Amino acid sequence: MNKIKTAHTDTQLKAPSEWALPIALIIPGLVAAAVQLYAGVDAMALSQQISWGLYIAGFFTAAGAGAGLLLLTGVGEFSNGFSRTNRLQMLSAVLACFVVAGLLIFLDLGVPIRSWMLTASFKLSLLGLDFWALMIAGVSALLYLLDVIRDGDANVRYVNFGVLAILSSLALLLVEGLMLASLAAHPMWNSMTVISFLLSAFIGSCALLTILLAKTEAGKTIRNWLSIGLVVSLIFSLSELLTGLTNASPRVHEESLSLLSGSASPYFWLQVIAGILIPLCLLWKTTDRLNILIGSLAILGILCEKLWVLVAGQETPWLPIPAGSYFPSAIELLVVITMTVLGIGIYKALQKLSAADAG
Amino acid sequence: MRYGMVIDLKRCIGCNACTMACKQENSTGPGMFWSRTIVSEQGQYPNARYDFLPLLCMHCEDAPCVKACPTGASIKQENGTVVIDQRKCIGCRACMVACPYNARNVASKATPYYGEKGFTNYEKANRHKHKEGTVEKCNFCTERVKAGQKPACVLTCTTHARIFGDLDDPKSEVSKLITSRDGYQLHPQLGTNPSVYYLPHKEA
Repeated sequence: MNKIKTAHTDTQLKAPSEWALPIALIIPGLVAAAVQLYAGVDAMALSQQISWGLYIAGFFTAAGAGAGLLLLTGVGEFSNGFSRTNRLQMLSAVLACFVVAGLLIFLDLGVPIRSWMLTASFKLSLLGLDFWALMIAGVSALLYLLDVIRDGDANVRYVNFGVLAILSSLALLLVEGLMLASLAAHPMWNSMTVISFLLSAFIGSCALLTILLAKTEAGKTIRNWLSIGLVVSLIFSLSELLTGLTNASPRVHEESLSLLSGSASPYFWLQVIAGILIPLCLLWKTTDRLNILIGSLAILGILCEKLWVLVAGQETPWLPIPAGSYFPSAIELLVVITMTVLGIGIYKALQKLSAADAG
Repeated sequence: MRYGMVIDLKRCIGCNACTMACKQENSTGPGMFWSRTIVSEQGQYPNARYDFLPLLCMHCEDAPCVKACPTGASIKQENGTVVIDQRKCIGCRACMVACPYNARNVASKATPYYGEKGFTNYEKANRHKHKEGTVEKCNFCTERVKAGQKPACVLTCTTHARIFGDLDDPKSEVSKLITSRDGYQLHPQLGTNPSVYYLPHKEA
């Protein structure tokens, strides 16, 4: 009797610590989100020169990581395949990413209450296509997940969903890259964004897999792929800087100087150091530990990369006016942190639902 | 018909009467400028001078903002003017990112020009025209032009540096000036084909 009472008491004592930290992180962010909705663009540190900032960078990061993971899940149907448990984990993470991406876009809008107009307009635009690509990828992932849950422990290959997952995720990544690449106003984006988006989707998906599956049999392979992705990203980022610094065009040179020591430099160097070099060191030094830290840093690196691409690409005007600069406001930072925690919560909730359904 | 504007940089004295006329006509809020003039210093003493560059929406023929808009809020009218339907704008700012001429602005929360004294009657009467969070810009004073008048900045210009007319009419004043004075567009290499031309300081 006493032992049972003690065990019960221990459980009661443990429960608050599980949700105390997430709540401590979420509450300020929810308040910030409410302030954001009330104050609109005034709550953001944006300007006429730099109109897309942290929320859009966060959107690209979440949507890209989700699309990359959805792509890998789909590809898995045509190779050795993932176990049912792995599929559930991956698809839950995909959906969590897409929900976070959607929320960030919603909060970024100047008039969020009119967001439904995106569904009502049939005007062809890359941003409109991006919206529909995200919807299709999200619905594909949801139906895929529901099918996996419904089939229970049956050893099934989801070939149709695999194809849908691959096509919808690739479409999302290409549209996002092209959306920036097509803008003549920002030549920095013309040549690099499609490759950048595909690369960061690969890294994001590997980072998520490192967090989710690194302790499984495929863990070593996943960590190797993440290492490769990070090395390629390092080469890509540094060559972007080097080619810009040595470019004869004054505009390109100025954009690259911004990465080196200008207003975009904090994000660039944070990506290189915290988002690439530190995870690489940890991957090489540790064999099977610190997976959550490694994956989180890699994702932070992608967020910083998206941010410097946006800032450095927008800050140099064509007109003879001063260049812009951008540092996220406290509201923006809090909201992004909260959305991240919310994403983790959504993932855990989906996992619990999947497990309950299986039970 | 394609409405356009010619700005004679030889005549512009940087008085900003156009800026104020635009502000008054369109009741734009503090910090919001649909038309503005950039001042830059050229040369060195004793041959230094100020150059003035009036800026506004270029009403491009191949407007990147119209292509970027996901809801169809930004539209190019048949007369060549690019306007924004405030009822459709969701404030995504894709058009602002797409515009190379910094012509667009996001409407902030309405604030009075005279601070503690509150909104003037004029501000109260016109607040409804500016929906917070939406994007807005020069519209070539669409209502005035429909009524057969010139845009406010053109009418007000003290030195007749702004000329408004039909670019498709070779006999219009704007067309003649572009041809005779080598009028140029800002950054034509971007492929936007602006409807605003500038006449250089010096003769060709």
